[in-house]
Amino acid sequence: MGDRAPVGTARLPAASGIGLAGPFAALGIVLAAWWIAIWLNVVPRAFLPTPLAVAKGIAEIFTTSGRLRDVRESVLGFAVYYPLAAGLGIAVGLTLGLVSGLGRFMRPLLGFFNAIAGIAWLPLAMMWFGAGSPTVAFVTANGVFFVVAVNTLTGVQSVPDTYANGLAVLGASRWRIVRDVLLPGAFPTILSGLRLALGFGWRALVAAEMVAAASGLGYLVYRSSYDFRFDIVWAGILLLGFLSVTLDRLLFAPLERWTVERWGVVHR
Amino acid sequence: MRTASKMRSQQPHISGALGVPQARFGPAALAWRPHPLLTALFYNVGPFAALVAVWALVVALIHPSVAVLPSPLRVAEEVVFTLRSGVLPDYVQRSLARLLLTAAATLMPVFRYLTAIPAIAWLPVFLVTLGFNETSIVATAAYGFFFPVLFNTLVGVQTVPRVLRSAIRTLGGTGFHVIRDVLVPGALPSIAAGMRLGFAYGWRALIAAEMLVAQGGLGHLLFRAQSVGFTPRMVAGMVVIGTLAAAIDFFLMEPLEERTVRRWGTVRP
Repeated sequence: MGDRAPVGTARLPAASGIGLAGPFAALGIVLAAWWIAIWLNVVPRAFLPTPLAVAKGIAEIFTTSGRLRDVRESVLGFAVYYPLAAGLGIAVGLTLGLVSGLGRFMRPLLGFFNAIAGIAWLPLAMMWFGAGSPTVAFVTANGVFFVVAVNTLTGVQSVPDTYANGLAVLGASRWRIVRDVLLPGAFPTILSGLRLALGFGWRALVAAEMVAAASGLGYLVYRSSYDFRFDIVWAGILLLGFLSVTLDRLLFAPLERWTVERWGVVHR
Repeated sequence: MRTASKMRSQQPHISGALGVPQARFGPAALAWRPHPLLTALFYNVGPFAALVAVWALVVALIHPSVAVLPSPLRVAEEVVFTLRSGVLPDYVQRSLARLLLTAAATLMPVFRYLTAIPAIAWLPVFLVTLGFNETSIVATAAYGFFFPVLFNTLVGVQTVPRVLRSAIRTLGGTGFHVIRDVLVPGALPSIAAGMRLGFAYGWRALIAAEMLVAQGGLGHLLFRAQSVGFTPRMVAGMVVIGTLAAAIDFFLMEPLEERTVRRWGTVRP
């Protein structure tokens, strides 16, 4: 990855040697801790429902049409905003990276916009689009786009010039250099950017739904606390984590395994 | 448990130090009572003392060979000897280290899950348990910061090549040396990466929480400006948020990560 580290390098945990029993043991420990917390009355019962009540809450979310609509809205929305914004981010990052002067000029700007937390755009987005789905879409896409663009640019810029020059000397076309040197060289960094963007985008979506929307899973969690339905609140929180983990697993676990095999960097 | 607390609440004046009801009047009150600490000592050490006494008696009466049943004294000698020679501490250390690693590895999915939950989603729970105030905002930001750091620290420790640990062992290093010279430096790049990510998550969670809990802060500034439609102040707030975050990332987080990776990085892409 050369001279510049990507924006944060989240890593997969090493395969644990515990095997199948691991997740069950973990689940057991969590449930035990949960029950003990209830038994010791750490938090008033109304705010910390039993695991059973939360399980019922999850069932209620999936069987009540209004609540299921909230889940669907978040998931389907994210399934549209994320690929669009990420694709655009890769395209812009690659283009900027190919024109070296432009890339160096734009880099600090992209970094700055990346630093303006996606959620900080929320009030302005509300002025432009009003409260509702378009605002959520804008804030989410915003959070995804800049992370991906910055990481793509970083990846392209960190491929040593000598590689590209080497191929150019041998008479390779510009397209050939992009395909065989820049893209593979930048790929791990782009991947890490995509993965980060998944986390940032999902968080931005949830926050935007909580602050500025009247639908979606984030709204469901926030609204339910006003209704004093803390079984639904906890169920919603657990669901948010589950969806995030599942998305990460589905999209990145195979990709990561493949890149590590192909361009192997991790050795134990 | 429940009955004990019930009794305590019904007879608050005549409870002893350990919550055991004691009679105030009558012959029982005149009888000598040992100090509660003495009682506790008797009931906790006594059984073992009795066991050892029986053990010593059996050995003294039957004279079994040492291979079948050594005397308590002989076992005590062995404990002292292994302690002195350093054999026991080394083995204990390894067992404890394995226990810790196993516990961490088992809880890994839990940490991953907790990391995956957006911090802001916890705000409603924090608000009712910690109050509609500063503490809830701080807790939300802290949640966003804490879990990426924890998760990446664990991953960092786990991905340190086993060979390096064994190498230190072979050279005669103790468990302490392994921690100081292998695990900590080996995990530092990952810890630094976790801190950078944690800062980004925590910062965003903080802004969002400030928007929802009106208690001042940049997020609140933005939100108030929005509620009166005052766009110039909104954009000014965004510029400040961006500048602050970019400055912290550029001057603190990025150098920290790059330096640790350059100095201690074991994974070299």
